[in-house]
Amino acid sequence: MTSDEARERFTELVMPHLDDAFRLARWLTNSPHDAEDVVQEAFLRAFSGIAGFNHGNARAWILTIVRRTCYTWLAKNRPKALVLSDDLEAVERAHSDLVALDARAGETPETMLLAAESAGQLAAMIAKLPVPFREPLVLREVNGLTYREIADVMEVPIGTVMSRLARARSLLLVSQPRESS
Amino acid sequence: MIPTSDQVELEMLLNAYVDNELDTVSSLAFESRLTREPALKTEYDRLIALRRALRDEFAAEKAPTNLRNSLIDNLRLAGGAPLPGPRQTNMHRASWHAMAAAVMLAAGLGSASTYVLTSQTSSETAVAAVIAGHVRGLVASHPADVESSDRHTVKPWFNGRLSFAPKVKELAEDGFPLLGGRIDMISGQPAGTLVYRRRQHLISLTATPEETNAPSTSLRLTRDGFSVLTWGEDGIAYWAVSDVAMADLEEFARLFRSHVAAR
Repeated sequence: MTSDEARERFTELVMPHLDDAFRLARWLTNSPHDAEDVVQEAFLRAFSGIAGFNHGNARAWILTIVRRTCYTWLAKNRPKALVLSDDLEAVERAHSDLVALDARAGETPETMLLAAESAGQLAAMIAKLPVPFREPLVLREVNGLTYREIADVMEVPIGTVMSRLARARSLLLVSQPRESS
Repeated sequence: MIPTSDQVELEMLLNAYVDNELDTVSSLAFESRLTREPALKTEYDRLIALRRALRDEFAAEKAPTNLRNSLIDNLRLAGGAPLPGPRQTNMHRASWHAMAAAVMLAAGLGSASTYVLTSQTSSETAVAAVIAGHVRGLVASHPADVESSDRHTVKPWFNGRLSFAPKVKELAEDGFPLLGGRIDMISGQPAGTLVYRRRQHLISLTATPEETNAPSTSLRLTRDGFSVLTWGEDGIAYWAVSDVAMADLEEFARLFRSHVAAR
């Protein structure tokens, strides 16, 4: 493959997914600033591998590379954020404990509408989700992937995707702030 | 609060319904449940509201413009095209530039270890191999196999890996900190490479036994945007390569050689 062909293929297949790539990196690292470096590195890796990508879901392909690059970044910069997925119940308990500290006794969350009054509050809630739950939530709600695509990018079974996604949303609904009366 | 397994299953069903991931029959069955079970309908409404809020706030975020422009520039570099405007140096740009060089080298030579049937001399091939090693170091996440700024760590690391002992000097005080070392293959033989940093750039200093296709006179050339300097000393040939300006590389060589001579 000539370098012209590589550039053409990369421009056609990968560049259209730059926004999605940035969104995923931004939410996995919890840092729009660091996400830029991560995306640069992921796109460099993708470019060096572009000759090997012939057909298939280009968006899932580049997001898989972005995800792996994020994990490398997390391992180096936020090692505590990485949790063994075997112990998700413990993760959930720890998260629920954190959330309970925020809540005042006897309050119930507002039903129907989300009480979060600003994007800042919602963003903070997402950022607090442990990575194994935040990841499928972002891939679904922010990147718009199907369950099958999320399973491919995360390299886990669809059942895992479904249960983690459901729990992620449930955790967000529990941790929404109370309506001040 | 950890839910029961029945609750878990219902929760997953509800989420799958909301995500349009249920088949038609299951969807219809679930819709019917929603009309009959007010508590479930309440959960459904909360979920829909959450999804709408997430989508409205975050699904349309764009990558920053400078990131997009930087990647477009990097792609042009990788295609070998010159960049309009002043060249900005950063670590990523260096990597893309290295990628361009790697692509061009691969196109020109096949691989660093094959000889080209042209009038190219064997020392030219060795120069290409040294550049290729430098490029590989740039593109890899670690340019050095042994990462240390201490020559007492790096020098012994080469024992057992090389048939000769390259000189290792620390030049951090002079603005060229040592990052570590690695092995490169030059003309089919293992060579010892030291990796130094100069501001945002890397310098590779590769040492080979002098009889390994070393140039009979010292070389000073630029190739594919890289500066290359070679010299011989005490039976060892040194090949310095970097994308710093030639003047910087010459200063590096002068400092290294004076440290060697001082011993």
